Amino acid sequence: MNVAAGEVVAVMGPSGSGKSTLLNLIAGLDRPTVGRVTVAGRRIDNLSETALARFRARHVGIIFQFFNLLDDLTVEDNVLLPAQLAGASRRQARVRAGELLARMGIDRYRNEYPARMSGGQRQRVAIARALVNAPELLLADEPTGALDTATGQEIGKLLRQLNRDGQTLVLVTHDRALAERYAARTVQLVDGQLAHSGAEVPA
Amino acid sequence: MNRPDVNWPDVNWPRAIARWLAAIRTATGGLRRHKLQAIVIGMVLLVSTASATLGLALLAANNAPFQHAFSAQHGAHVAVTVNTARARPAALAATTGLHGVTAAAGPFGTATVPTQLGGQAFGQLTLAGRASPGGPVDDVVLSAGHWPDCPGQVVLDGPANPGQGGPQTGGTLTIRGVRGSPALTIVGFANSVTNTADGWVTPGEVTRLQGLGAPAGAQMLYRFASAGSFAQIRADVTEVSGALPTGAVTGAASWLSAENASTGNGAIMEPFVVAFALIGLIMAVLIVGNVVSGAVVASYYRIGVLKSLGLTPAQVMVAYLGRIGWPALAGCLAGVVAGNFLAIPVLSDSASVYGVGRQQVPWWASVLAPAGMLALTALTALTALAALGPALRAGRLSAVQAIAAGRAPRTGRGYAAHRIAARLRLPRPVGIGLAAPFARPARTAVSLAAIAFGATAVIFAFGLNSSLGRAAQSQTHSATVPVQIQQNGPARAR
Repeated sequence: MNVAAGEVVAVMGPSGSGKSTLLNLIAGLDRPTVGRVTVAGRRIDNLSETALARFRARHVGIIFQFFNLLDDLTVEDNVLLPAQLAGASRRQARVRAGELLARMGIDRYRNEYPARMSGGQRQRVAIARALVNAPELLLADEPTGALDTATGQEIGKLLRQLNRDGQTLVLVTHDRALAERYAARTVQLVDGQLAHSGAEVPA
Repeated sequence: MNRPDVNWPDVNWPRAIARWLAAIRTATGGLRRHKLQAIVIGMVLLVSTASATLGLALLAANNAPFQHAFSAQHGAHVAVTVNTARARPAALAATTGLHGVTAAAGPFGTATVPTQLGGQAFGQLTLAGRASPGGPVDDVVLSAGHWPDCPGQVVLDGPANPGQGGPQTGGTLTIRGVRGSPALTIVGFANSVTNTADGWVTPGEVTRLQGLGAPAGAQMLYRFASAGSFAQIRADVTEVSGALPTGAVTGAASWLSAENASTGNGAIMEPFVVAFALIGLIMAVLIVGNVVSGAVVASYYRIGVLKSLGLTPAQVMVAYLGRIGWPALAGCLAGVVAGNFLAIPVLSDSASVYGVGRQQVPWWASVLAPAGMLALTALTALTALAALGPALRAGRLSAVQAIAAGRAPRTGRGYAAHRIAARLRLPRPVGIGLAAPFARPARTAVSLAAIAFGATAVIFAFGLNSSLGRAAQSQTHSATVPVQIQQNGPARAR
């Protein structure tokens, strides 16, 4: 399976088919028992744990279904943490976080804690965090799975806009409508095998 | 808007420092928002370190207490009683230069007199006249009050708090068997490791008592180059006796007798003291291990998230050691202070039982206890974190799985317990609660062990306190009825 730069690929399949595992392999959160994973021109399946962590911090952004924000940090600290890990000064990271929070429409919540926010707002924080290092690849694991329909559509539109701005995106979803509406291509997985790949879905 | 080209600094060292600062910031941010966890860890380390300090102090106090006190107080190998009518001061002074004598003190005038306390007979006491408690031999340790600084005052040999009915500071000791039955005010308590006297007064007071009819005498205190056996002691005393006029030496008390008495007093308490000390140490280790590992395991979700954001394993460790380490350090430091304070009354009782002047927390216990607890904290945290590291490398527990593991206990454990609990006629929440510990059997076992050791320690603490108190009291009673055997009968006043 190949994903071209600037592409939006939706990975679909029944529960247990290996969608999330595929995403974790691409993100370097898990290791393949066989085969190889190359992201942004770099083979990552044989990297050390430390090198993999640095690679993740710099080249990959991940959006989780349940947001996975750190509840003991403010919205702003959540967003700027990956930038600091990638080597940015706090001042530089705050400028970048401010831009992204404004773009997500949640800059007024920058000093709030995530637990006090709605699901849609939290997912916007998670997207801002994933984008803070301007990663080559954005991975989204069921990004609308924990949201109501209207909020899910807003997040879908946001992801689509990111792609129009040049962001490469791999999207794991159960939601066929979301895939059809926002992804340029879908990949079907069945029992860990690629059953169908490459079918263009009209944007 | 096109994807921006974010270009963070490429210079290696500031980038590395920025990364490490970010990790530390993550930790401190967590500390600020997790005050309760920090307080719990701090309190646990405080109690554990105090307990460990006390345990080590007790072990040290129990390790050859007489020998340590004898060395510290320059105990007298032999206390020789002399008849001052036959031995002149110059002759006594000459004995200090005899072959084998390494140190000597005296002569100190003595008066052996029957006494009364509160209208009751208090036994016959040997009172020695000494201007100060210190000296090259038999450095008397003052445990309460002050040294007599004028006639009419006495410091008694014994514990500072002899218990109800015993002599108290400010009490009056009446001297019987002399003209006018003079009264002495008790101004303090002290200990001579070799029991050279039952009380101490000023040299002038001894002269006064002798003038009123008390049997006159004096004591010379010696340390010898060879005094390890009764035979050597006999030879040493013979050497001194030979240097004085015939009949001048009327008695001699050996340090070996004092050692035997001290060992006998401590023998009953020794197993209790050692057991209490070891229980305290084991309990401290178990509780710290349990709480710290629990704190790290409870953070698996957060660790998974941090790893997914790009924290390296080393940064995760630094972050969590920082989060646990600061409250642990504060707890350890407070624990050392608390342990030293707690040890004061315990070691005071222990010193009374062993018949030694003073026992203190050794400096190495105040260093070893907090260092050990901090090392244990770090080791536990590192072990729990290291257990995650290899799992990640092996692909068994990815960051995503760590997140999942942090949300709920591992499945597949405690099913049988849950099934049995479900069949019991208990409210369902109670049944679930009863079965829950079986899902984490190791943690449950450590918790149960800590509780069991804690309960045992409480029982021991009460038992030890009561036993030490009674032993000290019995020592006080025995000290009031001294028996003295003199070679040539009691010396008579001139």
